[in-house]
Amino acid sequence: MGALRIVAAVAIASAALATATIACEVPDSGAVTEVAAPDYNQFKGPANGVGGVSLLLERRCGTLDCHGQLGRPLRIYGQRGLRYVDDAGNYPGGALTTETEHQLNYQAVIGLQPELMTLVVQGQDPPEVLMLLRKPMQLERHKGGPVFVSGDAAYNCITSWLAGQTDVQSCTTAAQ
Amino acid sequence: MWRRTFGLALLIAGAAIAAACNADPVHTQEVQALGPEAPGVPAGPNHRAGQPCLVCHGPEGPAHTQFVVAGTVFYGPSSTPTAVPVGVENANVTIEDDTTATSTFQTNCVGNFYVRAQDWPAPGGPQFPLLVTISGTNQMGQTITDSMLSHIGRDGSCGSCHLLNDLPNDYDTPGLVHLAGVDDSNYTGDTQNCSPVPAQYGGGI
Repeated sequence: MGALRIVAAVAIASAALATATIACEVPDSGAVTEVAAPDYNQFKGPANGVGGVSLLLERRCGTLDCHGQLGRPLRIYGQRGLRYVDDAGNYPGGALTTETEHQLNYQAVIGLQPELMTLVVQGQDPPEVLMLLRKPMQLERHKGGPVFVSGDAAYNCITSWLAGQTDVQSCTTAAQ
Repeated sequence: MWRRTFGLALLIAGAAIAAACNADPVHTQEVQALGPEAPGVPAGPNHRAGQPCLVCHGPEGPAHTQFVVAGTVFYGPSSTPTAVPVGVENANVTIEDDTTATSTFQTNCVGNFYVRAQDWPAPGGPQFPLLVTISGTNQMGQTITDSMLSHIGRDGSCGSCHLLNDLPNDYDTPGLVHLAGVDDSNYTGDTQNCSPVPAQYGGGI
């Protein structure tokens, strides 16, 4: 009986110690999660934004009443919508989308689901696993309703970018 | 019998609590942020020019009349501190929806216009996204037509995005919906029938 108590006490103490060790574990500050991301230059587009994914997102998603708002996880900046606040003092409808704004749009797209994005870019998952496509295609609830469908110019623009060979013509058409 | 009575009492109590409680605090806060009616401007088609109409006139109320699109067309952009926003009467607001159904609505004497679902030529009201063009006559008698650069994605209130541009940063508003490119201090609107200067404009949410 006494031995059983000792075993039980040791077991409880060990469990408590293990729990405490796990609970108190400090995350490795040097740890890096690598993300395989599609190309930024193709995202931005060849001709001052034209022919890229960024302009498509600006025009189709980034209006001030939708993703052109600071509170959105997928926050889109652009010439006709939300402007990045800096010394340039840009306002909606003013100067062309800046390099910083293209970069922030890129970060918003990549940062939405970085791990899944990695799997898609590496060809392990189809592009439809991404919210970037699921929402506008209404594969899951989207308050803004359907924005594009499989096979149209916007779909081809985004999926070709994810595959590493952006269909510039589709991107140009979709942004008009 | 007592169970049924108790159930009914519980239901009534629940309904009373739900009615008394704030079902959507965010919406309530938006309504409260609009402030009270301006003195001398009764609730009606001429009130609250420039404010986001659908905050109250949307599905969540509290206004009885529901709009699907509504807003105010001002004369100039009011781009200087002395340029007071003045609404434009009889401006045409042409809306084209996703199905290419198109309809034109006219502003009243304070510049307000509104579209109810039943005003739209197709059943169910306009389908977003919408393209909008305004037209009207300036002080020199010239007809001006101007279209929005972007579409409207989903918010039927012009005033949600089109705020008076007096913020320190105008990074998220293109300013008031305006007909003329420049302000004109001689334009005073319909001072006979309307408040010459809308007392409240620009939202505030």
